[in-house]
Amino acid sequence: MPQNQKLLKYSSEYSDELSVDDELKKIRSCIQCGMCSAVCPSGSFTALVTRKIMRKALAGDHSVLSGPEIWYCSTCFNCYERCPRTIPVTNVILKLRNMAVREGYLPDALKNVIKNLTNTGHAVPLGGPDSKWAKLREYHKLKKVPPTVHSFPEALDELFTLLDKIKFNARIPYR
Amino acid sequence: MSLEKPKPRVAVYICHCGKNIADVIDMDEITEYAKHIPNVVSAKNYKFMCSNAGQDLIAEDLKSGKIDRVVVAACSPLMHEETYRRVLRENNFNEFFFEQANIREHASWVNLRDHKGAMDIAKDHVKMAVAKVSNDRPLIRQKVKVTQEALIVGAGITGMFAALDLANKYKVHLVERTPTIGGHMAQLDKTFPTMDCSACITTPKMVEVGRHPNINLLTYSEIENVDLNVGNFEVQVRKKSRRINHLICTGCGTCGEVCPITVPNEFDYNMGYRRAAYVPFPQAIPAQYTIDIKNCIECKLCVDACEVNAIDFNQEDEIIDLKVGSIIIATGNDIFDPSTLYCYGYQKYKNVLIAIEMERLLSSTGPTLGKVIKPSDHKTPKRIGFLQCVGSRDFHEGTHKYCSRVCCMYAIKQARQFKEKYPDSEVFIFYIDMRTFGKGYEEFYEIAAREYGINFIRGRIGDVFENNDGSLIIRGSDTLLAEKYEIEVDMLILSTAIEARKDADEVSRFFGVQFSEDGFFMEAHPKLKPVDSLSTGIFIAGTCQAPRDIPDAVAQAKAAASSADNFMFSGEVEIEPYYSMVQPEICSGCRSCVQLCPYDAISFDETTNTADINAIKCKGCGVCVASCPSNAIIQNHFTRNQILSEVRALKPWENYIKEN
Repeated sequence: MPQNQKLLKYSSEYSDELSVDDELKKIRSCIQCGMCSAVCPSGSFTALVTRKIMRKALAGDHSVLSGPEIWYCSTCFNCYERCPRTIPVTNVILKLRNMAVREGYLPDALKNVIKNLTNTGHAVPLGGPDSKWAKLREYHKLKKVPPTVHSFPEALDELFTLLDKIKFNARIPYR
Repeated sequence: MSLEKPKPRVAVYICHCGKNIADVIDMDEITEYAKHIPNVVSAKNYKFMCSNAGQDLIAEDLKSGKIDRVVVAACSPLMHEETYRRVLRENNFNEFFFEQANIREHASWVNLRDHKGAMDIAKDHVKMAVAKVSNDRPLIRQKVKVTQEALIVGAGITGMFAALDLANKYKVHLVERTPTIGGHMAQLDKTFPTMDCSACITTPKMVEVGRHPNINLLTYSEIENVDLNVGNFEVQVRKKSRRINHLICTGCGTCGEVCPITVPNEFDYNMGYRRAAYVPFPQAIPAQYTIDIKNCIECKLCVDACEVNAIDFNQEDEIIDLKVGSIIIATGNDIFDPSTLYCYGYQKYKNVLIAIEMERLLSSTGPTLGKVIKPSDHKTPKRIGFLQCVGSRDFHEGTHKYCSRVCCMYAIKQARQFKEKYPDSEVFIFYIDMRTFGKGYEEFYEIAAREYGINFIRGRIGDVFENNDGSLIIRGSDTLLAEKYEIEVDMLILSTAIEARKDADEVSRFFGVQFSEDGFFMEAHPKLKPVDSLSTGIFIAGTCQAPRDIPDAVAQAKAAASSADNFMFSGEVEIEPYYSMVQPEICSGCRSCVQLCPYDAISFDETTNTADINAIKCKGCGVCVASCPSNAIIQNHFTRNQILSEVRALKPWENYIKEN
């Protein structure tokens, strides 16, 4: 068989995590009935197929972490409610996201969010004193710049203290 | 007084069968039509003729004295013929003055959209039934005494349980082909889903069978001949010579120790070895040694070694004559041989095994005392795979279309056992569908996945290749992800199908039981008569009827025992009077019927030079009637006159006669 042929690999890469973590362990009970995908609102519009996520995670297929699908979940918990085997599907996806980040996989959009956070202290920043948000505040007779990190840039250090405490930098290098 | 035969007075009853018939066939039209058929004196229709009110309708008319023959146009006679016959019987009429026209299955159900066509067919059926009933003659059911003894063929788990249930009431003869009872179950290490030790639950039952005063245990014996007299079956059993006197043998095993011959042990599925003087396994019942004369070189070392002088090389096969009232067939199953499915490499690659071989490897009494080893290098495998549906759900020649029912469960069981013994190993099960249908089975499967971490991969593997070190590369497609994969395993176990015994046709010939399409014995009705065969007094149970697991086999054993008890208990059996009779004054003595009779019911009387039919053995199939060149044979209830009257009742036939 030619080496470049795409082959699924069954590996025990996550087997430690699967047997230790109570919620991840539950995906072993998955019977691939597809109910989670059937009720997934995001899956109707994106490439998210929760059934395949469960299967790939169980098979130890690395593409589940490197691919963008797990990030399409809107965490509506429909799947969590309906799963006949009571697998906490949404929580599993959240845990897979954790694992993905730990391995350095993060979508560009989220990288921007983090950049915003570490630069301005806001995931959605004001965007400068002439931005439309600033004008809107002015219209409502509020201070143009809110009394947050935007007004007190030195408070950003407190954010870094907190982020350092949870070792955020070790996972997502931000500075 | 007139000597003329009284004209038959027929009453026709047409059943709506709820809406099954009435929705398609106009009840008023067909009732009106029936009134004008010759010999009919009354015609009525009713919503449910089989209901008590419907039966009362017939009973009132019979009591009024205006009618003496009855036609009911309704469902199949298989369903309700007995119901209506009983009405005639209870009102002191001969029950054979009754015919049932099947206008539900034959007319309405098959012509739901063609009401006119259905009506035409229904009219023909009613007309034929009236013609037949007008020519019917009174018949009497014969009664035969039933011998209060039973024969059970096969002493696996099914045969043993049937024997134990019957033996409290009747003398039971239990015939087993191998030297010990116990069957396949004795070969198993553990049983799903409770994981209890198979031997621990089988051997107490084996001992009970061996010691029961009412069970005549005939091991190492085969059926030689059967005379199918209903209620009084005469059976010849050949008790094969063990070359050891069973009255003296203490089972000490000295003969086995001195025997110089080693041959593969069938009990270990040829994985281990035994001597030519042997017991199949230590807990065998009876605990007697057998000298396997096929492999014995007659060195007679055992004769000198035996302290009680039990060995007798002059011992001959013994023929035992039995007379029994009922027979239970529990001959069990064979295991599919996957060597023809070359892509899986059984018997080509050393480390490809079948499940029963794995079972013996896992068994603490097996050839390796419970240590699982690779045949290639005798080391313990680290990664093993199970392939499901080998020989099942396959349409190729030599394989089977059906699902073998037990393979999913035994594969999970073996996987769990392996994982318990070797927790660091990896186990894969390649399946098409996991069918875990029984009580506690789904839970067993779920725990295997969740707690044991067994990998279930959907999709049948396509190819297996062998590496130089004996490990195997499996190539397949994960059908849930639609992606191809390659996995390396140290050992592959094929979950092989359960199939009918290769010599089942011999059993079928002896006992007159029929086959289903899949090669297993056929039950009389798939739902309502699951353990009855088509021959009266003969029952089938266990895996000779279809693949099944131990709980189902035991349930069938008990059902068959109860049915056999029910059959023998009254002491008498009624024979259907449909048998054929030879008119000796016409019989030319050509003997063509003698050879054709499938039930061996016809004998030839040399003194009168005529054939003679045994009414009890005759099943009324009609082969002899059709074959007789001089029309000397009459079949009751289906005489020439009766059948022709039905044919003539059809219009095309009238036209045919007119035209010619």
